[in-house]
Amino acid sequence: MGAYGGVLALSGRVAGLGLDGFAAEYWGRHQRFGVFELPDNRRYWFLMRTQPVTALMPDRAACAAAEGWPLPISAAIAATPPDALIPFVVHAKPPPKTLCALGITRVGDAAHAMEPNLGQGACQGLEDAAALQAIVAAVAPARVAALYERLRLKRVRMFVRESALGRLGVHGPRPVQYLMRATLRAIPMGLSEPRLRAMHTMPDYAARVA
Amino acid sequence: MLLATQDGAPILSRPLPDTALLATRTALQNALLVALGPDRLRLGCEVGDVAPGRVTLVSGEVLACDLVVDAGGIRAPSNTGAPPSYGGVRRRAGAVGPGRGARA
Repeated sequence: MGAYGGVLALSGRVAGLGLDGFAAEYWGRHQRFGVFELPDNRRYWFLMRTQPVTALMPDRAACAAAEGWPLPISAAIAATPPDALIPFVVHAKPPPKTLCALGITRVGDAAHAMEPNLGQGACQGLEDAAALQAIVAAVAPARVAALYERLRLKRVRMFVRESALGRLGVHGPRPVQYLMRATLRAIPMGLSEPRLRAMHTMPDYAARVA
Repeated sequence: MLLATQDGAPILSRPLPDTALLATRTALQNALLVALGPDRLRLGCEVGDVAPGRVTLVSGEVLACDLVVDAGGIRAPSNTGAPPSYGGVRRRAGAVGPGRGARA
């Protein structure tokens, strides 16, 4: 199974028109770029590639590998100062069995460190905080941990599992890449959209603890 | 959200529910500061030990609390589960016996 890492960056203002909320991820073979439009016509973009654990992270020259990829990638890179590149390696943990142990409640990556493939790592940390806020306002401190785990554990385990699966379309073995891409192409919107909507919509934790 | 191949051929295209939110760590800490006030938000304190209802700083100061929440990231000391793995690498353990090396 491929290990992977790369660079990410926030670009400066990109010349030309905005992209109308455009967000895209382009999958090559063992290499992918992502680009997301931000306010002020800036971009968040990343490059991830399959690489050995000991490999150096791609530098500016490696980003030149974007030549021949779709235009939004090269435009974002061109608007990024070289010193704005942030190298990273992807680390993750298996789905958690618990979010609370020994009287300590865990949130964010301390509780559910996941691969970045759904873009939900930080989102779920914020959702942890929102859930805790609702719980603390509703129950005595001694009941907080158990209720937090009941409301959050199943959902965060799902994100950790599915984020790990997301790696396979680019960093998995070649036949698995083909299979995953074919599967994604075949999924009708009527099936995938409710699923994505449920992922992207935070449950009403205040209502659940009321 | 567009998922496409290297040459731009779509694999999957789905609408995102909302526009992106860009929030820096500084902005989040400022939000905490506004919500809690300067007397209750303490930064730059190195934690030495955490136990139920008690946090001990490296300075020796002990903080009593109703609820301890650890947001210390993937290597948080309270997370005693499996260690972080690099990019989801799965190791395959093998038997170790006389005259045999371990396979990994």
